[in-house]
Amino acid sequence: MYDRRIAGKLLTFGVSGKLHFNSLIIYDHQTDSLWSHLVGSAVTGPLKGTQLKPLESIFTRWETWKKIYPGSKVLTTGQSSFFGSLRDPYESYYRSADTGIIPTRLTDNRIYPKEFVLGLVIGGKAKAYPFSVLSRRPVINDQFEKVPLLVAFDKESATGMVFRRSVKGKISSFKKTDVKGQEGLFLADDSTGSVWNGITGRAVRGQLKGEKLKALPLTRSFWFGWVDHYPKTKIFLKKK
Amino acid sequence: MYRLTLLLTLSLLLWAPEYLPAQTVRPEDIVTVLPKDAIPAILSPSFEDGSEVSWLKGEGMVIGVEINGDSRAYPVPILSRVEIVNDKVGGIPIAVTW
Repeated sequence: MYDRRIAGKLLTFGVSGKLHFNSLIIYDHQTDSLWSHLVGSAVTGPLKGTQLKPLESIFTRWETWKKIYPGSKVLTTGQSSFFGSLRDPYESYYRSADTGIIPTRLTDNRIYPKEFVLGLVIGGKAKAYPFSVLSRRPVINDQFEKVPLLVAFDKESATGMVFRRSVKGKISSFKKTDVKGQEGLFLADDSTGSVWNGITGRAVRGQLKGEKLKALPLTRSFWFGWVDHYPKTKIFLKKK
Repeated sequence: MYRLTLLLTLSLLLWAPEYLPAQTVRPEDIVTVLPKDAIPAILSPSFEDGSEVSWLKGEGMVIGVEINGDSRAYPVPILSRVEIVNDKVGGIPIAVTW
C-alpha cells in the first residue's frame, strides 16, 4: 500500500501485463513509467528511480478487522456477492510448490519458497520474518538498523505487525499476556506493565492506556518473491 | 569524472547508506505476459458499510487501512482480480496493490 503522490504529482496506476520474477509490474497513467509493486519504485520511464511512500496497512481476517474498526467500509464491485462466494483464484497456487511461470532468480533455501514472510525495509535494508517462526514466537523484541522493534503475530488470524519498541521515547520490551474474557493477542511492556493490543498497537489497560505504538509499513510476501527483490535480505530464524 | 562518481558513491556508502536502493529490479528481468490493462485496475472504487456486508465471510482475508479516522477493508478475492485499487482514504490518495 502506497501514497500515490510523487513530488506533489498525483498518479493513478494500472496493470502493465508485465512481471518481474512473478511479481506484478504496474504502470502509472501520467508518465507510463513501470513500477515494481513489491518494492514501490519505478524501474523504467520518466520516474525511474523514484520511490513511493509505503503506508501502514493490516493484512488480516475480515472478522478481526471489523472488531477493530466497526465503522469500516468494504470495497465492493457489482459482482461482490459473486466474488465472496468464489474462492481466491490463487488458492491452489498458494498450496502448490510451484512459484509461478518464471523461474525464481535465487535459490535461497533457508526456508520453503512458498512460505509467507513479513518483509520490512528500514534505511534501504531488508529483513524477513517467516510465518513459521512467528507462529512459534508470537512476540519478538528485535532490533534492526538500530531501530528497536516489536514484532507481534496473532496466529489465529495470521496477522503480523511490526512496531517501534519505544513508548514515550523510552525503549521497552514486550511479552505476551492474557486478558480475561478477551480473544486476540495482548502484550505487556516491562516498564509499566501496561497491556497492549498486539494488532492495533494501542494500550488498552494500565498507566499508558490510550497510547499507541508506531506501526511500520510491511510487505506480506512469499519468501521467493521477497528474496528475488531483496537478495541481501536478513531473515529472522531463531525459533527460541 | 569517473573518480568523482566513485568518490561520491563511496562517501554515500559511508555517510548515508539509507539512500542506496536495497533492491535490484533490473528492467531486463521484466517480461510481458498479458496486454496492458488486460486486468482492469479500479479507478473509482465503490464501498459498502461493513455492518451491512453479508457476502464476505469472517475468515476471509482483507487488507485494511485506517487514515485520519477513515477505515476501509479491501477483500483479497476482489484484489486478486483487479490487482490495483486507486483510492483516497482520509484525504490521502493511495494505491492498494496485491
